[in-house]
Amino acid sequence: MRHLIVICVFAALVGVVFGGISNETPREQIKYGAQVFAKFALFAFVLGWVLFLLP
Amino acid sequence: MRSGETLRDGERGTILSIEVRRGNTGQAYLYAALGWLIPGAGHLAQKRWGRGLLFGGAVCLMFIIGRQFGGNLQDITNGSEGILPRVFGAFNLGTGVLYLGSWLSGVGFGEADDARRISFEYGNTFLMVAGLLNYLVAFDAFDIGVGRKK
Repeated sequence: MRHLIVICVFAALVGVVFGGISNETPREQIKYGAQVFAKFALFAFVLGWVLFLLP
Repeated sequence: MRSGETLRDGERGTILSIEVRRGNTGQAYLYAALGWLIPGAGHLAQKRWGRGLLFGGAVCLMFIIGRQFGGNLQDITNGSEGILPRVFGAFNLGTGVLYLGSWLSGVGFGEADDARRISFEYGNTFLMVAGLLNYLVAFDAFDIGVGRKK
């Protein structure tokens, strides 16, 4: 559970910066930041399970 | 035609020419350097208060979390262990005054107790990514200063 919290914190902070530097309107910045957060968190979660199941 | 204005063909709406707004390049370099040295300061100096505080806060928080997890900073001048520590050191250097302050005070470099902690690698990653993100933030401050972005 702690790993998941850590990756969520990491993804949120990266999402804030990536969203902020994207050259769009505030609405699109928030949307892009949320996308980055979701992709980071989901990819780490899936990769974590794949590596766990590998012998 | 004024600065930043786009000239269009009246009937078809075709763009005939675009005049790019140009800021002061010398000043833009200064904003970038300031943004690198103090996270978010490049934006704050250009009165982008929201972005400056958000970026500065995110980078500083990432650095603090990294240190709390027991992450270690890499000494960029240490070439005895190959090139990799120097590369990681260059990443860490992106945090500017946070890295330089730690370097001058000798805190966070090669602390053996930290390496025993389970979150050590997480900490290292947070510290490196904090530096890399601050490089991006400094480039963004440069782009605003030079007039490429609002």
